Amino acid sequence: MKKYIILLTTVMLFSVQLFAQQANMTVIGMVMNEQREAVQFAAVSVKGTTIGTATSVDGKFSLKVPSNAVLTVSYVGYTTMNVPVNGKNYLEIIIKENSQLIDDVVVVGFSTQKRVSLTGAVSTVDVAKTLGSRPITDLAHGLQGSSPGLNIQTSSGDMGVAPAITLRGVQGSLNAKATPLILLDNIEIPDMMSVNPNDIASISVLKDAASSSIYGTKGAWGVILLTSKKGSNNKAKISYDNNFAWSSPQMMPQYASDEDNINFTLTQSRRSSPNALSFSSVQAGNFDELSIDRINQWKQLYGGKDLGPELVKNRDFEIRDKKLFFYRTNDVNDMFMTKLSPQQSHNINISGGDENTKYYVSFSALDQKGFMKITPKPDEFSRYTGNIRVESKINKWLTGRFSLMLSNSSKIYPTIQNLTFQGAPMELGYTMYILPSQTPMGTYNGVGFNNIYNILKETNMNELENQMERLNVGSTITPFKGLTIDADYSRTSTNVHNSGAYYGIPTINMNTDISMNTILQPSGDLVVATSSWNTWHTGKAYATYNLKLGDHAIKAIAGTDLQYYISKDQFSENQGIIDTNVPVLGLTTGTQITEGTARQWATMGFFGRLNYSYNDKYLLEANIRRDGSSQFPVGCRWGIFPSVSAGYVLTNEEFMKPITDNGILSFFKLRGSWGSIGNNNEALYTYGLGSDLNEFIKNSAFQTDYYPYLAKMNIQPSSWVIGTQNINAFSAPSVVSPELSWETVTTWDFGADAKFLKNSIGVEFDLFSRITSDMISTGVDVPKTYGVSAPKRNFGELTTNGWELSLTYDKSFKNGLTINLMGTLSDDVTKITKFSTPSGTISTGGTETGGYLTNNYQGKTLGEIWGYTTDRLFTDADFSGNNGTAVPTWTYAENTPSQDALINGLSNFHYGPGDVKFKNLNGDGEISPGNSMTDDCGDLKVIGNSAPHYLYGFRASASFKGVDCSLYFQGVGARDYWATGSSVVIPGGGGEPIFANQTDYWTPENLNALYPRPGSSGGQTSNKGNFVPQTRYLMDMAYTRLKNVTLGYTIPGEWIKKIHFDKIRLFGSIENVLTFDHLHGVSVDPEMQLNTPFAIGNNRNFGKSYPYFRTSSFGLQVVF
Amino acid sequence: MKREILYIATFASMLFLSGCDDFLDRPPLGAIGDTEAFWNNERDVRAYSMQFYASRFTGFGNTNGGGWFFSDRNLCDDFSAGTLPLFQPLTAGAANDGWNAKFNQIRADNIFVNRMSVANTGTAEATNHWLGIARFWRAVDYSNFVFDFGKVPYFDKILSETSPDLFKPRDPIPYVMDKVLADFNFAKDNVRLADPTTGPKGQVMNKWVVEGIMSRQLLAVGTKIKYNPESSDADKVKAGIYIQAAKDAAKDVIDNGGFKLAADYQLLCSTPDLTGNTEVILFRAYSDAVLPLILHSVMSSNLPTSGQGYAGNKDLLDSYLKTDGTVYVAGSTNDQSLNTYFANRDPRLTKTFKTDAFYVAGKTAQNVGSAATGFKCWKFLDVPNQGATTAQNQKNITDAPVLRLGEVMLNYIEACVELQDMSLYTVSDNDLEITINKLRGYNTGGRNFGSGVTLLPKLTLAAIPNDPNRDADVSPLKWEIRRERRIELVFEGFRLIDLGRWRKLNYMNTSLYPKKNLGAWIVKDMTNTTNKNIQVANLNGTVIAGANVAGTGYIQPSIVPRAADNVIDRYYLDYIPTQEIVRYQEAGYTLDQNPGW
Repeated sequence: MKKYIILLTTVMLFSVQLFAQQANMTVIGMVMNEQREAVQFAAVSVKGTTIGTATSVDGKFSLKVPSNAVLTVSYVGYTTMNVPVNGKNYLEIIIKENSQLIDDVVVVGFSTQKRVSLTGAVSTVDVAKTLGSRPITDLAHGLQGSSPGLNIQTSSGDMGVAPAITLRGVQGSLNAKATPLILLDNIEIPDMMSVNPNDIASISVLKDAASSSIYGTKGAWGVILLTSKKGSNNKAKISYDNNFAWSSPQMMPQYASDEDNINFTLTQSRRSSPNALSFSSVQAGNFDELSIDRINQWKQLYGGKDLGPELVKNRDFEIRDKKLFFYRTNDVNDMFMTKLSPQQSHNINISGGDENTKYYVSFSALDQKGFMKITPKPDEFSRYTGNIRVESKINKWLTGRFSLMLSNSSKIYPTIQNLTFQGAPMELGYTMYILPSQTPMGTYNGVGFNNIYNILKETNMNELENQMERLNVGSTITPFKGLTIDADYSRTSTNVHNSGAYYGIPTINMNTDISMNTILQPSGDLVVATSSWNTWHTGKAYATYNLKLGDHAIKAIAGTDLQYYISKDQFSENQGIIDTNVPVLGLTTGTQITEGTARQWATMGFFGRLNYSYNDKYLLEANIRRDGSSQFPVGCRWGIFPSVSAGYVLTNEEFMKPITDNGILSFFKLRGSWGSIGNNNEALYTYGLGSDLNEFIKNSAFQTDYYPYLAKMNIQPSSWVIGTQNINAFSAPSVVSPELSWETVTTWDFGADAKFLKNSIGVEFDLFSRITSDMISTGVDVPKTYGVSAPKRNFGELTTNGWELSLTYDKSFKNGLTINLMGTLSDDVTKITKFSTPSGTISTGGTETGGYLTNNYQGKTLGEIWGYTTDRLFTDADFSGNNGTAVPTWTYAENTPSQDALINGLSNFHYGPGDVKFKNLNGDGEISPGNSMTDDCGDLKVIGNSAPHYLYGFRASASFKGVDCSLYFQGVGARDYWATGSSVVIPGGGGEPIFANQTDYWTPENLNALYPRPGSSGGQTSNKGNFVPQTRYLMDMAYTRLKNVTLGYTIPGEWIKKIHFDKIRLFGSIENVLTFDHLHGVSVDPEMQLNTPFAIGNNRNFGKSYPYFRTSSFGLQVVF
Repeated sequence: MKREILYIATFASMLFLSGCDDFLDRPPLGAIGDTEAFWNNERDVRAYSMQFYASRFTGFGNTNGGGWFFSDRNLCDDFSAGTLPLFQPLTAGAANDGWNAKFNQIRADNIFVNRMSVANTGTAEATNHWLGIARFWRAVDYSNFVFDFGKVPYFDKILSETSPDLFKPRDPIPYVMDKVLADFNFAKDNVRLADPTTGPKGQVMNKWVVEGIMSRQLLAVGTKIKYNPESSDADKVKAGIYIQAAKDAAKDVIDNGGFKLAADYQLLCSTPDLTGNTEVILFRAYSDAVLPLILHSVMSSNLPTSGQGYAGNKDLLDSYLKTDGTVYVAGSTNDQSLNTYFANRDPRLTKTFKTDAFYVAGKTAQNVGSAATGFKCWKFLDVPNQGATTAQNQKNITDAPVLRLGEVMLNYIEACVELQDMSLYTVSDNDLEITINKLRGYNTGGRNFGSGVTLLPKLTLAAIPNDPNRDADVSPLKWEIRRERRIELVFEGFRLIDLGRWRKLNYMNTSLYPKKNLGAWIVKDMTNTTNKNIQVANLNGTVIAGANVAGTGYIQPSIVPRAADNVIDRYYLDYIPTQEIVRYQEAGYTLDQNPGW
């Protein structure tokens, strides 16, 4: 290859020389801007040749040219000019400023287009400014707030987890999230995790059907086009940059003081057991009135001293009344989490080439350490990527290209089996923040007490490996002028391997066992290894024809694309680990289980596109696609999906000239589009991270349904044991609709693009409506005699309406100061506009835990939260008295509606003074959920919406004399969330600690408290007692976050030229700098979602996931 | 130029109009559909048939319950508890899971039956064997369905979602039961004596399982029709036919099945492996050596340390005969001492209950392991392994007998008596010899209670005990046969079904039958915080001393009786979900509700 490049270079240089000899005159000139100021370093070349030069400091140039030459003058930020020499020796050339030209060309489906002639809703992301030198580990995190309508959500701060990316709403269909298709160089990639952000040259987001329809079915929810950096026909350039960063947890919940905590727990426990002398805590032995004194005593004597891990009886704990009491206190945050964890990344790329051959080679390495301080190894995420791209013009009509991309990431994390509490797997934060500060996180006689701290110390570290490789070969044929034919084949494979183990760790049960016997926790042991191998084969061929006839420009594209996907996986589990230091499948003695399966699908499409423009004024585009999918039964496989869009550039009209010429309105375009795309309801399966070893991984690997038309007979263990086997059995076949077919996604989009004040202010606005019809949803209503529910059918409709706005301001001042501002704002609402049932069952709270996609009915707004309206806390006057027992039952006063329907079987609980009082909305004399149906909802109403609304981003950057700085804000304007759990409200028992912001609870001395009287109705008992979903404790998750601040300095060119560098830049950058929220001290990150694998169904986990990273970094960029 | 455009247009339209369905034919790689590819040999068919066992024959249930045994079926007159379980629900609901589940099962049955016409199993004999099994499951499901709901719509074909048959009205019970009988008869004549490849005897379907279950199901429905006051004479004629079939099937198992009563009665429900048990015809195996694990919790509830919140009541324990053949009469000082209460009783009493102490809360050694009535059951306790890990809750591995010869004998003798009632048969002493007397430890193949144990005397037609508490409408012979059934099959999940078919749900009314909410006779220990709060009553259920009041009497576990307002005739049949009634109505059809709902 190298030889070939050298050869080509030689040939090229030779031809240039030949050409140059034909020059027969010298032309001298000066390049100026509209203010008639000299423009330095503008490129001046002879059109169609490589002859060229650059202007001097005073804007002058001199060039030998043929007398009939045409000079091309270009400069960044200015319109390129073509000036015929016409035999003149002196030329004065005035170039026009045009900031719009910076993003002049936009990558669209299978081609590029001038931004001005776009008719669809396409937005571009300024890669350099958006990603810049931020210490982000993946591309998606960097794109939050960068493009209106693009919604990027993370469930936690955990490393290596791909954020959920959706476009224009969260759900596109009840069957599919509105996840856009992500293409890297026109070929699909499963997520952005495997992409090195530094390799990306441009990003376009195609939002309406008219723009994305050419990509067919997978483009139903829009397309994100990533284009990678390619070689250029320059001399070889080496660019290197690095980034060293230190992260600290964004937010660490702080406990209330020990005294407050014990007082709280005593108050809480005494509500149901007024006479008990001591109370046991699930995690920290027992406590009583004496505990506060003893703990304070301990602090006086030993506070701040390093006593080592061993607990000493009668110093750190004691046994009284045959019960264990602990006095040594810890700072939980400090015990588990490190305050600074390092991260580093390195990128190097080499690019170059000549006229015929261009190449780009890059390598990157990233290593990020997590916050876990106590595990045997730190948790860690690392990634290596490599890229090679070569493009070569083989002859006049044939260009060939080749690229290879490799990516390997690995995540090391503690076994989740150890993070269980009361039988259910929990988030790390959950198991950590239920430990009161006096929890014995040490040993006795060398054996650790039974809590998550001691178990994590000896846990197994699981490894999840993600490998991706992609090979692409393609060619472009130009048989005659105007026509090009492109053909590409690519093979992408992603392999995922997850291996893990768990085993019993000797611990002491400190709750009940005063004899300090050792038990193994968790019980059982096993090794698990899962693998999945996924391969995509993609073929595309299309022909593009350009024709320009006077003012009429026509561009036509026709082509076909094919995709074939095959995936295989296996799951192996062996029990009975011989040596816990070597937990591998081979070294086990117990029961073994293996499973495996495979799946495939294929799609095929034909497409055509016609662009017509008249004088860049009237623009028209029409698309048509015919799509086939293997996922529908024969006869229902094919669908035809047309779309059209049109634009009208008013500023190109003659009558607008007076307005454009004065520079106030430089550009104005109206555009509109209508189009439809098919959705084949394909849920692309990706592995979850940090998942429950033997359940989650296995289940999700085996449950993806690519064959909705097949009456499947599922195989599963019969639960009937014969000999040594739980015999497998086949189930009765499922019912399927014989005519299941495409869901149709139709989008209307109206937009306007405008530029003001000599293009310095840009405005883009879009109004859209997306209707997903023939949605595959609940079958017809059949009597139960059918034996099963009727199969799903194409019925139902989901509509998303919304708007998007983006504003930009770009200005370069004469003194060299450049300012760039960018703001985005968008909102959308998704409703079920047609459904089989007119009313639905209410799932109160209705977030991801339930009711978000279930309990559907016609008219439902996705994300709606049903709940009660809180009045205030009860006072004595609300009751006519009580029955006088130690744990009294109160009688409601005459005017107080009974709330007993909300007790919901909660034991030891009756409403009384200090509890939450709800409003009686329907005036029926009692607070009740009615029939829990949307049309008979009692006192329930919609109190909020959990979908994010008013997403925005704002970026300000400036540069002056080599110094550059930028600020990047991102936020959500409205989002509600119903969650419980001790990080949100006060806990309800078991000795769970309260946080610093939770001391404001009701006592007879504190009647105007925020939280009600402590008791068995606490944060864990969602949907019961004081914490039924309601307005008072509904969380306002709106936030503004200063995502990034960057400061850079580029060393002036003259200095570094001497040492043969092209560019040296130093920078410092802070990610997640500041957050402004409305949570009033609740220990939850406002970005938090509840969609990690084990949090499902467990509201009290909310907010206790892996903390977000606040990262400070500095680095170096060099080009030579 | 024109030519070029033409080229492009041709190329484009060729691409656009050609469909390449071949490329899109991507059959599943990891899933199998209901096609010929599946129903291809006996192995496939067998794999389909395996889904039925655990769902129809739940045995000890799975992990947390859901089985037939002990307190998993606590709603009956054998148990008392701190809170007596009540009949539920109080009003007909919109939906009824029982109703839904039955149609789901019947769909699976009908698919099985239907696919046997296309399945390639090699020989006609094999096809008929599997068809027999398919029809067996349908017969089981429909007979249970009829037992629970009375009239039900009968389907013997697979329905489509648009079929008007979905709104079929409920068919008369005899119509359905004739189909059930035909299915059972086909199964009986065609199912193999043993499946040569599936596994050891006792774990899968064979002729004897078919006949044993057939006797159970037909006797149940037959007697339920017979004792239902709303049955017509024609219905009762049909009932005679079903009971006759039950009797014949049971007789065939007794005579020709080659099964023999197990020597040790206690080991029937407490053995880690029932494979070699000569009495067990079908059992559900449990194991901690398979994945996923199949475990239960019934044995742990019988551990010495386990408290039994649901426990056998005094009425049950009193119903064990004395070894002199007479009926135990409560109320004497005999009730008050261990020795006099438990001595000289049916030997099965000590094989079922701990007779070394009254296990009363607050009085036993560790204050654990007591029973709500003081009568502690150990019928399910695997004594040799009671200290093993597998004895822990949710980790038990003892096998559950699903069908055993003892029950078949009782089905037979009861069928004989019922037929005699209808003048269709005359019970002979030999009928008692081959059934009840074998269970009592006599005759070849009889139960062996060990040497030195005094057996109950043989039951003979000439010497039927006369129980003063006998219902007037039940003959002394029938009364004793029902007693034998209650004792022999105690806590095996039959009692509520038996009361339902005998039309004796009123036994559940503890106001009428106070002994069904009484336990052991105790002297309250006022120094013990737990013991002093036990309520004691006399034999009429009148409270002698409530919580924290000193007194002497019989433990009365539940303060609230299960009275007439809960024990209501409508519970003989389950309710038809009202939502379905409305659905039928809206489509112009009628689905009627069961009486009383």
